[in-house]
Amino acid sequence: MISIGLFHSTIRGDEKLIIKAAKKRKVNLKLYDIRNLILEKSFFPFDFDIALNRSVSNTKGRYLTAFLESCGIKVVNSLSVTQNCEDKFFTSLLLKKNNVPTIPFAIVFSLSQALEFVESVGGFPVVIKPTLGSWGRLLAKVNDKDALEAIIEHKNHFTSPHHQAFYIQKYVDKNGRDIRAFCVGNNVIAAIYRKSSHWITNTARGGKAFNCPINRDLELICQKASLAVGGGILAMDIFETKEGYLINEINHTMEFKNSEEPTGVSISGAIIDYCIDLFQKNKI
Amino acid sequence: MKGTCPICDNQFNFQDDLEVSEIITCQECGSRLVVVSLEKNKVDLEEAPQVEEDWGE
Repeated sequence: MISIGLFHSTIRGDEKLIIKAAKKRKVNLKLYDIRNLILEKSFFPFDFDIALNRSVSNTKGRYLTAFLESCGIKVVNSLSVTQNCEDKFFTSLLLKKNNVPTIPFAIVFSLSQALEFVESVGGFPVVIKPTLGSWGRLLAKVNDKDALEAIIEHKNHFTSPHHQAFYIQKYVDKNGRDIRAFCVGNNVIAAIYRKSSHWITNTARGGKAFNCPINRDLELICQKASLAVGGGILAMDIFETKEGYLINEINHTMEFKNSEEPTGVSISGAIIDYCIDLFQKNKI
Repeated sequence: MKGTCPICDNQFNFQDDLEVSEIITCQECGSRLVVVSLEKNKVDLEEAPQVEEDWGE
């Protein structure tokens, strides 16, 4: 029987669903709290066949994946997918390089550069966000030059240098909703609309989830985006525009607990099935 | 399994599927708590760690 190592930090509702799905499939799931592990071969419990990384901390998760891959263990998601998705600039670059429709973006290092970029995309508003981060943290919709000056001044006082690389996107009016599509392998298994009266629609920030039917265009853009970052288990954040869909971000440790009920799809089950499938393919 | 909220002393009766490191919310005081150990039907709880800058998806 296959044994999956589930590497976690805090156990969220998502991990509980994965545990339940593994039990249902009679898969031997071994739980490891990453915070209790020493990432060195002689200390490490190699008693599983494939690793599923569900770390809520990107830093700990990335180091764990790098360590496991260096020991020859297959990890879901892989290190390259993790790196491609955890940094929003890296994701945007890969989407652009692979002709996946996305939002105009740039990284700038000064106010004057930011103003130059804003002009090139037709003016305000724009969105500034940290390249590393999640759950809508520190996102700013910047409506004018005064606000831009203030935000850049504030960011220049943050201690972490990554805050001084200003990732800017053209602001896209979402009409109160965006789409979160769940891709497993190269299959789009489910999608939700995230609706909110606030311009930030993340469910972590109060956005409500509703089923979104998957049409051919949505499927195609997700598959293209998945290929661009290296595949695996991914959640795509997508905007609907008059010109078609645009990929905003891609999440490599997706949260889905609010999405199984509205879509009627066992996303947790699909995650376990993917791990089983990947292990079996890898064995051959 | 039984446990007590370390903030407001609310008493919990948990289901059998509770896991160490699981995050729960106290219905009484709203505190976010984490399960630190499960032994002999006794659940030890602590205040959950604050969200850190690199947490997310």
